[in-house]
Amino acid sequence: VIMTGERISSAVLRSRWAGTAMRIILAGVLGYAGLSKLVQPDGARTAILAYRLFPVAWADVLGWALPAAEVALALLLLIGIFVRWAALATAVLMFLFVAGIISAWARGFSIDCGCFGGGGDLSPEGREWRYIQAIARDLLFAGMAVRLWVWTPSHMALEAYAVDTSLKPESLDVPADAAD
Amino acid sequence: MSLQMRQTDVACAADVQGDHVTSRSEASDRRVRLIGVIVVAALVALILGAALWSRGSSSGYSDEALPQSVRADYGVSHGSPNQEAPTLEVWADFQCPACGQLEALSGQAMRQLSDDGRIHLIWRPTAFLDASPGVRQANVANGAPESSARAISAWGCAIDAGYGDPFHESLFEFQPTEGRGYPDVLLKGLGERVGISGIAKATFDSCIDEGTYLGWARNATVAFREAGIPGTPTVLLNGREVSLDQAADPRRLEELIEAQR
Repeated sequence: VIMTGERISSAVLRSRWAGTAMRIILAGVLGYAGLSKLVQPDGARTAILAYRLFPVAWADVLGWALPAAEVALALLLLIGIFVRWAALATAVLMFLFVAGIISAWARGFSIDCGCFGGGGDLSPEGREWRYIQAIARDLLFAGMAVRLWVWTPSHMALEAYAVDTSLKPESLDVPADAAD
Repeated sequence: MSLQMRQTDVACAADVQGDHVTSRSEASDRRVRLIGVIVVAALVALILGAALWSRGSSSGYSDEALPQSVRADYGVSHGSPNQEAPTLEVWADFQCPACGQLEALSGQAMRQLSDDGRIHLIWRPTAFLDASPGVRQANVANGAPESSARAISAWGCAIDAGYGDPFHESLFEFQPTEGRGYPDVLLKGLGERVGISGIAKATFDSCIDEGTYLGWARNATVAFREAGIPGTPTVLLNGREVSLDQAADPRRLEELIEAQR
Protein backbone atom coordinates (compact mmCIF):
# COMPACT_ATOMS: atom_id res chain seq x y z
CA VAL A 1 0.00 0.00 0.00
CA ILE A 2 1.43 3.35 -1.01
CA MET A 3 0.44 6.15 1.30
CA THR A 4 0.48 9.68 0.00
CA GLY A 5 2.37 12.31 1.97
CA GLU A 6 -0.91 13.85 2.93
CA ARG A 7 -2.24 10.64 4.38
CA ILE A 8 0.94 9.98 6.30
CA SER A 9 0.99 13.45 7.82
CA SER A 10 -2.69 13.20 8.64
CA ALA A 11 -2.08 9.83 10.31
CA VAL A 12 0.82 11.28 12.29
CA LEU A 13 -1.24 14.32 13.26
CA ARG A 14 -4.11 12.19 14.50
CA SER A 15 -1.95 9.61 16.22
CA ARG A 16 -2.21 9.14 19.96
CA TRP A 17 1.47 9.85 20.40
CA ALA A 18 0.96 13.19 18.62
CA GLY A 19 -1.79 13.86 21.15
CA THR A 20 0.57 13.00 23.99
CA ALA A 21 3.27 15.26 22.55
CA MET A 22 0.86 18.17 22.22
CA ARG A 23 -0.38 17.69 25.78
CA ILE A 24 3.21 17.83 27.05
CA ILE A 25 4.14 20.84 24.91
CA LEU A 26 1.03 22.81 25.90
CA ALA A 27 1.49 21.83 29.56
CA GLY A 28 5.11 23.04 29.39
CA VAL A 29 4.18 26.32 27.73
CA LEU A 30 1.26 27.05 30.07
CA GLY A 31 3.17 25.96 33.16
CA TYR A 32 6.15 28.11 32.30
CA ALA A 33 3.92 31.06 31.38
CA GLY A 34 1.96 30.77 34.61
CA LEU A 35 4.93 30.31 36.93
CA SER A 36 6.96 33.10 35.35
CA LYS A 37 4.05 35.43 36.10
CA LEU A 38 3.50 34.09 39.62
CA VAL A 39 7.12 34.72 40.70
CA GLN A 40 6.66 38.42 39.97
CA PRO A 41 5.65 40.59 42.92
CA ASP A 42 2.49 41.72 41.15
CA GLY A 43 1.71 38.59 39.18
CA ALA A 44 0.57 39.56 35.71
CA ARG A 45 -0.97 42.85 36.92
CA THR A 46 1.50 45.17 35.19
CA ALA A 47 1.31 43.17 31.96
CA ILE A 48 -2.50 43.24 32.01
CA LEU A 49 -2.62 46.97 32.74
CA ALA A 50 -0.40 47.62 29.73
CA TYR A 51 -3.19 46.39 27.45
CA ARG A 52 -5.43 49.22 28.78
CA LEU A 53 -8.43 46.91 28.52
CA PHE A 54 -9.35 46.43 32.18
CA PRO A 55 -9.80 48.80 35.11
CA VAL A 56 -7.23 48.64 37.91
CA ALA A 57 -9.53 46.65 40.21
CA TRP A 58 -9.90 43.94 37.56
CA ALA A 59 -6.17 43.85 36.91
CA ASP A 60 -5.56 43.30 40.63
CA VAL A 61 -7.57 40.07 40.48
CA LEU A 62 -6.72 38.94 36.95
CA GLY A 63 -3.04 39.46 37.70
CA TRP A 64 -3.20 36.40 39.95
CA ALA A 65 -6.16 34.55 38.47
CA LEU A 66 -4.73 34.33 34.96
CA PRO A 67 -1.41 32.68 35.89
CA ALA A 68 -3.19 30.39 38.37
CA ALA A 69 -5.55 29.29 35.58
CA GLU A 70 -2.58 28.69 33.29
CA VAL A 71 -0.89 26.48 35.87
CA ALA A 72 -4.14 24.58 36.49
CA LEU A 73 -4.62 23.92 32.76
CA ALA A 74 -0.99 22.82 32.50
CA LEU A 75 -1.46 20.27 35.29
CA LEU A 76 -4.70 18.92 33.82
CA LEU A 77 -3.08 18.45 30.42
CA LEU A 78 0.06 16.96 31.91
CA ILE A 79 -1.61 14.26 33.99
CA GLY A 80 -4.35 13.79 31.44
CA ILE A 81 -7.69 14.44 33.07
CA PHE A 82 -10.48 16.53 31.55
CA VAL A 83 -8.14 16.80 28.58
CA ARG A 84 -10.87 17.74 26.15
CA TRP A 85 -12.12 20.62 28.26
CA ALA A 86 -8.65 21.78 29.23
CA ALA A 87 -7.77 21.82 25.52
CA LEU A 88 -10.87 23.88 24.74
CA ALA A 89 -10.10 26.34 27.54
CA THR A 90 -6.50 26.61 26.32
CA ALA A 91 -7.64 27.33 22.77
CA VAL A 92 -10.07 30.01 23.98
CA LEU A 93 -7.34 31.56 26.16
CA MET A 94 -4.89 31.65 23.25
CA PHE A 95 -7.44 33.28 20.94
CA LEU A 96 -8.17 35.88 23.65
CA PHE A 97 -4.42 36.58 23.93
CA VAL A 98 -4.22 37.05 20.16
CA ALA A 99 -7.23 39.40 20.25
CA GLY A 100 -5.60 41.37 23.09
CA ILE A 101 -2.32 41.74 21.23
CA ILE A 102 -4.04 42.81 18.01
CA SER A 103 -6.13 45.32 19.94
CA ALA A 104 -3.06 46.81 21.65
CA TRP A 105 -1.30 46.98 18.29
CA ALA A 106 -4.29 48.57 16.56
CA ARG A 107 -4.56 51.24 19.26
CA GLY A 108 -0.91 52.11 18.76
CA PHE A 109 0.57 50.90 22.05
CA SER A 110 4.06 49.43 22.16
CA ILE A 111 3.79 46.86 24.89
CA ASP A 112 5.51 43.73 26.03
CA CYS A 113 2.88 41.01 25.58
CA GLY A 114 3.75 39.79 29.07
CA CYS A 115 3.20 36.26 27.83
CA PHE A 116 6.01 34.81 29.93
CA GLY A 117 6.28 37.35 32.71
CA GLY A 118 7.46 40.89 32.22
CA GLY A 119 4.97 43.21 30.60
CA GLY A 120 4.43 46.93 30.46
CA ASP A 121 5.41 49.45 27.85
CA LEU A 122 8.37 49.04 25.54
CA SER A 123 9.98 51.32 23.00
CA PRO A 124 8.12 51.42 19.68
CA GLU A 125 11.21 50.10 17.85
CA GLY A 126 10.60 46.68 16.37
CA ARG A 127 7.13 46.43 17.83
CA GLU A 128 5.60 45.00 14.61
CA TRP A 129 8.00 42.07 14.68
CA ARG A 130 7.42 41.51 18.39
CA TYR A 131 3.65 41.48 17.91
CA ILE A 132 3.85 39.19 14.88
CA GLN A 133 6.01 36.71 16.80
CA ALA A 134 3.69 36.69 19.79
CA ILE A 135 0.58 36.25 17.61
CA ALA A 136 2.17 33.47 15.54
CA ARG A 137 3.26 31.66 18.68
CA ASP A 138 -0.16 31.90 20.30
CA LEU A 139 -1.88 30.75 17.11
CA LEU A 140 0.42 27.72 16.96
CA PHE A 141 -0.51 26.81 20.54
CA ALA A 142 -4.18 27.46 19.77
CA GLY A 143 -3.86 25.07 16.82
CA MET A 144 -2.47 22.34 19.06
CA ALA A 145 -5.23 22.90 21.58
CA VAL A 146 -7.93 22.70 18.90
CA ARG A 147 -6.34 19.49 17.60
CA LEU A 148 -6.52 18.03 21.14
CA TRP A 149 -10.10 19.12 21.48
CA VAL A 150 -11.07 17.41 18.23
CA TRP A 151 -8.97 14.23 18.65
CA THR A 152 -8.63 13.84 22.38
CA PRO A 153 -7.34 10.26 22.79
CA SER A 154 -3.67 10.07 23.62
CA HIS A 155 -1.22 7.82 25.39
CA MET A 156 -0.07 8.33 28.96
CA ALA A 157 -3.23 10.00 30.21
CA LEU A 158 -4.84 9.21 33.56
CA GLU A 159 -8.44 9.37 32.46
CA ALA A 160 -9.77 6.51 30.36
CA TYR A 161 -11.64 8.81 28.02
CA ALA A 162 -8.41 10.47 26.95
CA VAL A 163 -6.79 7.06 26.51
CA ASP A 164 -9.47 5.44 24.42
CA THR A 165 -12.74 6.56 22.94
CA SER A 166 -14.01 3.00 22.95
CA LEU A 167 -15.98 3.58 26.15
CA LYS A 168 -19.06 2.75 24.17
CA PRO A 169 -21.43 -0.21 24.45
CA GLU A 170 -20.37 -1.73 21.11
CA SER A 171 -16.83 -2.21 22.32
CA LEU A 172 -18.09 -4.54 25.00
CA ASP A 173 -18.25 -7.55 22.76
CA VAL A 174 -14.85 -8.67 23.90
CA PRO A 175 -13.33 -11.60 22.05
CA ALA A 176 -13.28 -14.61 24.35
CA ASP A 177 -9.50 -15.00 24.38
CA ALA A 178 -9.03 -11.42 25.53
CA ALA A 179 -10.74 -12.23 28.84
CA ASP A 180 -8.15 -14.85 29.82
CA MET B 1 -8.82 -20.34 31.90
CA SER B 2 -10.42 -18.33 34.67
CA LEU B 3 -13.34 -16.37 33.38
CA GLN B 4 -13.81 -13.97 36.25
CA MET B 5 -16.10 -11.48 34.57
CA ARG B 6 -18.67 -10.57 37.15
CA GLN B 7 -22.00 -8.94 36.44
CA THR B 8 -20.75 -5.50 37.42
CA ASP B 9 -18.04 -5.68 34.83
CA VAL B 10 -20.59 -5.06 32.13
CA ALA B 11 -19.65 -1.42 32.44
CA CYS B 12 -16.06 -2.37 31.81
CA ALA B 13 -14.51 -1.23 28.59
CA ALA B 14 -11.82 -3.15 26.85
CA ASP B 15 -9.67 -1.68 24.14
CA VAL B 16 -8.27 -4.52 22.14
CA GLN B 17 -7.23 -2.39 19.20
CA GLY B 18 -3.53 -2.64 18.67
CA ASP B 19 -1.43 -4.73 20.99
CA HIS B 20 -2.42 -3.22 24.31
CA VAL B 21 -5.42 -3.92 26.38
CA THR B 22 -6.88 -1.36 28.72
CA SER B 23 -9.71 -2.21 30.96
CA ARG B 24 -11.28 0.23 33.31
CA SER B 25 -14.73 0.78 34.68
CA GLU B 26 -16.41 4.15 34.42
CA ALA B 27 -16.66 4.28 38.18
CA SER B 28 -12.91 4.01 38.62
CA ASP B 29 -12.44 6.59 35.88
CA ARG B 30 -14.66 9.02 37.76
CA ARG B 31 -12.56 8.38 40.84
CA VAL B 32 -9.34 9.08 38.90
CA ARG B 33 -10.76 12.37 37.67
CA LEU B 34 -12.02 13.37 41.10
CA ILE B 35 -8.71 12.65 42.84
CA GLY B 36 -6.83 14.29 39.96
CA VAL B 37 -8.88 17.48 40.19
CA ILE B 38 -8.40 17.64 43.94
CA VAL B 39 -4.64 17.22 43.55
CA VAL B 40 -4.49 19.86 40.80
CA ALA B 41 -6.59 22.31 42.83
CA ALA B 42 -4.42 21.74 45.90
CA LEU B 43 -1.22 22.28 43.92
CA VAL B 44 -2.50 25.46 42.31
CA ALA B 45 -3.70 26.78 45.67
CA LEU B 46 -0.30 25.98 47.17
CA ILE B 47 1.64 27.73 44.38
CA LEU B 48 -0.69 30.74 44.40
CA GLY B 49 -0.49 30.95 48.18
CA ALA B 50 3.31 30.82 48.08
CA ALA B 51 3.39 33.55 45.42
CA LEU B 52 1.06 35.84 47.39
CA TRP B 53 2.89 35.13 50.63
CA SER B 54 6.36 35.82 49.19
CA ARG B 55 5.09 39.15 47.89
CA GLY B 56 5.29 40.15 51.55
CA SER B 57 4.07 43.35 53.07
CA SER B 58 5.42 45.57 50.30
CA SER B 59 1.98 47.01 49.65
CA GLY B 60 0.58 49.93 51.56
CA TYR B 61 1.81 53.37 52.50
CA SER B 62 3.93 54.08 55.54
CA ASP B 63 4.75 57.28 57.35
CA GLU B 64 8.12 58.36 55.97
CA ALA B 65 10.37 61.40 55.80
CA LEU B 66 9.85 63.45 52.65
CA PRO B 67 12.20 65.97 51.04
CA GLN B 68 11.11 69.62 51.06
CA SER B 69 8.36 70.48 48.60
CA VAL B 70 7.44 66.91 47.70
CA ARG B 71 3.73 66.76 47.02
CA ALA B 72 1.22 64.77 49.06
CA ASP B 73 0.93 62.36 46.11
CA TYR B 74 4.73 61.83 46.33
CA GLY B 75 5.31 63.67 43.05
CA VAL B 76 7.63 66.64 42.57
CA SER B 77 6.46 69.83 40.91
CA HIS B 78 8.99 71.45 38.61
CA GLY B 79 9.98 75.02 39.47
CA SER B 80 7.28 77.28 40.91
CA PRO B 81 4.28 75.86 39.14
CA ASN B 82 1.43 77.76 37.57
CA GLN B 83 -1.47 76.08 39.37
CA GLU B 84 -3.91 77.19 36.65
CA ALA B 85 -2.03 75.50 33.82
CA PRO B 86 -2.83 71.98 32.57
CA THR B 87 -0.94 69.36 34.57
CA LEU B 88 1.60 67.22 32.79
CA GLU B 89 2.55 64.22 34.92
CA VAL B 90 5.57 62.17 33.88
CA TRP B 91 5.82 58.75 35.54
CA ALA B 92 9.35 57.42 35.33
CA ASP B 93 11.76 54.96 36.87
CA PHE B 94 15.33 56.26 36.81
CA GLN B 95 16.53 52.85 35.61
CA CYS B 96 14.12 52.61 32.69
CA PRO B 97 15.87 53.14 29.33
CA ALA B 98 12.75 54.42 27.59
CA CYS B 99 12.39 57.03 30.35
CA GLY B 100 15.94 58.16 29.61
CA GLN B 101 15.07 58.41 25.92
CA LEU B 102 11.92 60.42 26.62
CA GLU B 103 13.91 62.74 28.87
CA ALA B 104 16.54 63.19 26.15
CA LEU B 105 13.92 63.96 23.51
CA SER B 106 11.37 66.03 25.43
CA GLY B 107 12.79 66.81 28.88
CA GLN B 108 14.15 70.20 27.88
CA ALA B 109 10.91 71.17 26.13
CA MET B 110 8.82 70.13 29.13
CA ARG B 111 10.93 72.20 31.52
CA GLN B 112 10.67 75.18 29.17
CA LEU B 113 6.88 74.85 28.93
CA SER B 114 6.78 74.72 32.72
CA ASP B 115 9.05 77.77 33.09
CA ASP B 116 6.75 79.64 30.69
CA GLY B 117 3.79 78.76 32.92
CA ARG B 118 2.06 76.85 30.15
CA ILE B 119 2.01 73.57 32.05
CA HIS B 120 2.25 72.42 35.62
CA LEU B 121 4.96 69.77 35.24
CA ILE B 122 4.90 67.03 37.88
CA TRP B 123 7.54 64.31 38.02
CA ARG B 124 6.12 61.10 39.44
CA PRO B 125 8.95 58.78 40.46
CA THR B 126 8.54 55.03 40.86
CA ALA B 127 10.96 52.26 41.80
CA PHE B 128 8.93 49.45 40.29
CA LEU B 129 11.92 48.06 38.37
CA ASP B 130 13.57 47.13 41.66
CA ALA B 131 10.98 44.36 41.90
CA SER B 132 11.72 43.01 38.43
CA PRO B 133 13.75 39.79 38.89
CA GLY B 134 16.13 40.47 35.99
CA VAL B 135 16.93 44.03 37.04
CA ARG B 136 17.21 43.01 40.69
CA GLN B 137 19.79 40.32 39.89
CA ALA B 138 21.83 42.59 37.64
CA ASN B 139 21.73 45.38 40.25
CA VAL B 140 23.02 43.06 42.95
CA ALA B 141 25.71 41.64 40.66
CA ASN B 142 26.93 45.18 40.05
CA GLY B 143 26.95 46.10 43.73
CA ALA B 144 24.05 48.52 43.33
CA PRO B 145 20.97 46.75 44.71
CA GLU B 146 17.59 48.52 44.56
CA SER B 147 19.02 51.19 42.31
CA SER B 148 15.70 52.75 41.37
CA ALA B 149 14.83 53.42 45.01
CA ARG B 150 18.33 54.66 45.85
CA ALA B 151 18.29 56.99 42.85
CA ILE B 152 14.97 58.45 44.06
CA SER B 153 16.34 58.79 47.60
CA ALA B 154 19.47 60.54 46.28
CA TRP B 155 17.25 62.86 44.26
CA GLY B 156 15.49 63.71 47.52
CA CYS B 157 18.87 64.54 49.09
CA ALA B 158 19.62 66.79 46.10
CA ILE B 159 16.23 68.49 46.44
CA ASP B 160 17.07 69.30 50.07
CA ALA B 161 20.39 70.73 48.89
CA GLY B 162 18.53 72.92 46.40
CA TYR B 163 19.72 71.04 43.32
CA GLY B 164 16.69 68.91 42.58
CA ASP B 165 16.19 69.88 38.93
CA PRO B 166 19.78 69.52 37.68
CA PHE B 167 20.21 66.30 39.65
CA HIS B 168 17.04 64.85 38.11
CA GLU B 169 18.41 65.76 34.69
CA SER B 170 21.83 64.24 35.32
CA LEU B 171 20.37 60.98 36.70
CA PHE B 172 18.93 60.42 33.24
CA GLU B 173 21.91 61.87 31.40
CA PHE B 174 24.26 59.42 33.12
CA GLN B 175 21.77 56.58 33.28
CA PRO B 176 23.69 53.28 33.40
CA THR B 177 22.71 50.49 31.00
CA GLU B 178 19.56 48.83 32.31
CA GLY B 179 20.35 46.59 35.24
CA ARG B 180 23.79 47.98 36.01
CA GLY B 181 22.20 50.41 38.40
CA TYR B 182 23.44 53.48 40.26
CA PRO B 183 26.25 52.66 42.70
CA ASP B 184 26.46 55.15 45.59
CA VAL B 185 29.74 56.54 44.23
CA LEU B 186 27.99 57.45 40.99
CA LEU B 187 25.13 59.16 42.87
CA LYS B 188 27.59 61.14 44.99
CA GLY B 189 29.62 62.02 41.90
CA LEU B 190 26.52 63.32 40.14
CA GLY B 191 25.83 65.53 43.17
CA GLU B 192 29.29 67.02 42.86
CA ARG B 193 28.82 67.46 39.14
CA VAL B 194 25.62 69.49 39.49
CA GLY B 195 27.37 71.79 41.94
CA ILE B 196 26.63 70.57 45.47
CA SER B 197 29.73 71.47 47.46
CA GLY B 198 31.16 72.19 50.89
CA ILE B 199 29.07 71.39 53.94
CA ALA B 200 26.02 70.81 51.74
CA LYS B 201 27.97 68.08 49.93
CA ALA B 202 28.83 66.36 53.21
CA THR B 203 25.15 66.45 54.20
CA PHE B 204 24.19 65.20 50.74
CA ASP B 205 26.64 62.29 50.95
CA SER B 206 25.50 61.19 54.40
CA CYS B 207 21.87 61.54 53.26
CA ILE B 208 22.70 59.03 50.50
CA ASP B 209 24.57 56.73 52.88
CA GLU B 210 21.67 56.71 55.30
CA GLY B 211 19.08 56.16 52.58
CA THR B 212 17.09 58.98 54.15
CA TYR B 213 14.39 59.02 51.47
CA LEU B 214 14.07 55.33 50.61
CA GLY B 215 10.67 55.49 52.31
CA TRP B 216 9.61 58.20 49.87
CA ALA B 217 10.60 55.86 47.01
CA ARG B 218 8.49 53.08 48.57
CA ASN B 219 5.45 55.30 48.98
CA ALA B 220 5.83 56.71 45.48
CA THR B 221 5.89 53.16 44.13
CA VAL B 222 2.73 52.27 46.06
CA ALA B 223 1.11 55.34 44.50
CA PHE B 224 2.28 54.12 41.08
CA ARG B 225 0.61 50.74 41.61
CA GLU B 226 -2.56 52.20 43.06
CA ALA B 227 -2.90 54.55 40.12
CA GLY B 228 -2.67 51.51 37.83
CA ILE B 229 0.05 53.05 35.70
CA PRO B 230 0.79 50.45 33.02
CA GLY B 231 4.52 51.06 32.79
CA THR B 232 7.13 53.74 32.43
CA PRO B 233 7.38 56.20 30.97
CA THR B 234 3.73 57.18 31.17
CA VAL B 235 2.78 60.77 30.45
CA LEU B 236 -0.58 62.12 31.60
CA LEU B 237 -1.97 65.45 30.45
CA ASN B 238 -4.71 66.52 32.86
CA GLY B 239 -4.93 62.88 33.90
CA ARG B 240 -5.32 61.49 30.39
CA GLU B 241 -2.61 59.36 28.86
CA VAL B 242 -0.55 60.87 26.07
CA SER B 243 0.93 58.41 23.59
CA LEU B 244 4.70 58.17 23.75
CA ASP B 245 4.97 59.09 20.07
CA GLN B 246 3.37 62.41 20.96
CA ALA B 247 5.18 62.87 24.26
CA ALA B 248 8.58 62.25 22.67
CA ASP B 249 7.95 64.89 19.98
CA PRO B 250 8.11 68.39 21.54
CA ARG B 251 6.15 69.99 18.70
CA ARG B 252 3.25 67.56 18.90
CA LEU B 253 3.30 67.72 22.69
CA GLU B 254 2.99 71.50 22.52
CA GLU B 255 0.05 71.21 20.12
CA LEU B 256 -1.69 68.86 22.53
CA ILE B 257 -1.11 71.23 25.42
CA GLU B 258 -2.43 74.17 23.41
CA ALA B 259 -5.55 72.16 22.63
CA GLN B 260 -6.15 71.83 26.40
CA ARG B 261 -6.46 75.53 27.02
